[in-house]
Amino acid sequence: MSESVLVAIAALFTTSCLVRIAPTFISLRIDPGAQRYLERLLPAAVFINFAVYIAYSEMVREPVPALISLAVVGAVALLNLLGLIGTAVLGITLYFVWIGIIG
Amino acid sequence: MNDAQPAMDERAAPSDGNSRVAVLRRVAPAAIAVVPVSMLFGMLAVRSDWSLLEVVAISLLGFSGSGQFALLPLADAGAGFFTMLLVTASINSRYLPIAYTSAKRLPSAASRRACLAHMLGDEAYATEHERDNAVSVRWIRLSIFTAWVLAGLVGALLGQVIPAAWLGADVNLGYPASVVLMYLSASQLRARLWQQGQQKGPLLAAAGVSAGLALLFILWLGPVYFWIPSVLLATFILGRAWS
Repeated sequence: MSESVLVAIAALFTTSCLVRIAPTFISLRIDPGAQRYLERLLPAAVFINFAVYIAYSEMVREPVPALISLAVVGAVALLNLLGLIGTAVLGITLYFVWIGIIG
Repeated sequence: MNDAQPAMDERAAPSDGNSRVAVLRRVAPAAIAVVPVSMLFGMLAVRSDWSLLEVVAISLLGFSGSGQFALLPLADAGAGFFTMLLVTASINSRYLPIAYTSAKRLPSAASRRACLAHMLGDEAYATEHERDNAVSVRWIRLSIFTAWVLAGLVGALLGQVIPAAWLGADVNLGYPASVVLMYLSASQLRARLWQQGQQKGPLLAAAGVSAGLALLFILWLGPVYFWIPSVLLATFILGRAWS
């Protein structure tokens, strides 16, 4: 292995230890109110940020197709209208059809 | 282990949706969605003169989509360890709250706990449910992790035979993964926020405000550094709206 790749692997593995492994071994004594924050509100906040991050990342690349496709996917999921596979097919089709239309 | 979050017994009886078949059926779309992204990484890494062993090693030990892509040019440029660590830790800082809040679903044995924690990814976190036991979590994370590593290897193999010009084609191979992650995120929000006894109006408004502020944080701090402040602020806003 080349040295630069070894350094890259070491950096990523160290990152994994810091941000994924270490937090699962941390002990905190917390009251029920704080527990509600950690178990329900913090994950919800993470998923809101996920959604915005995904939309932003894709809209930088293809603004209109990504906006339409991801808005439909998000609405379908929130309203529980379709399963994951059907929604994924719908979202991907919308995206590439709109790219074809816009050129 | 978190005192307030006792680990589930790995031998716990499977509940609805926790049978192996049900779990594999649930995780399959997410595992399939990461394949083109990892294949693209493998192809690009081989183009940067990485060996097959190096591609597999970084997928196994690094397991970070955005982190792996970010390190490709840095490794080419000969960047140092702490530069790379700063970049990857910043990109992956979102895993801090995710890892902590999902810790209760992991087995209590330290080695298994560490291995499954390492296999945590966005898709796995979005696929898991609060009621999942350690066995379900193991299948979910292992499925996506295995798909990622194998797809990276296949991509590296293809990268050795596919003409370089083909890789320059402007096809967004990562879009299916974005669609799946958007669906899973919205589904998780519905499950976590729309509970009986909760008024939907204030929570929807809070979620909307949080989303708008997240966008402002991205525009202000960039898509790497916005995570922690934006997640903390969104948590606070949702907490104020929670009745």
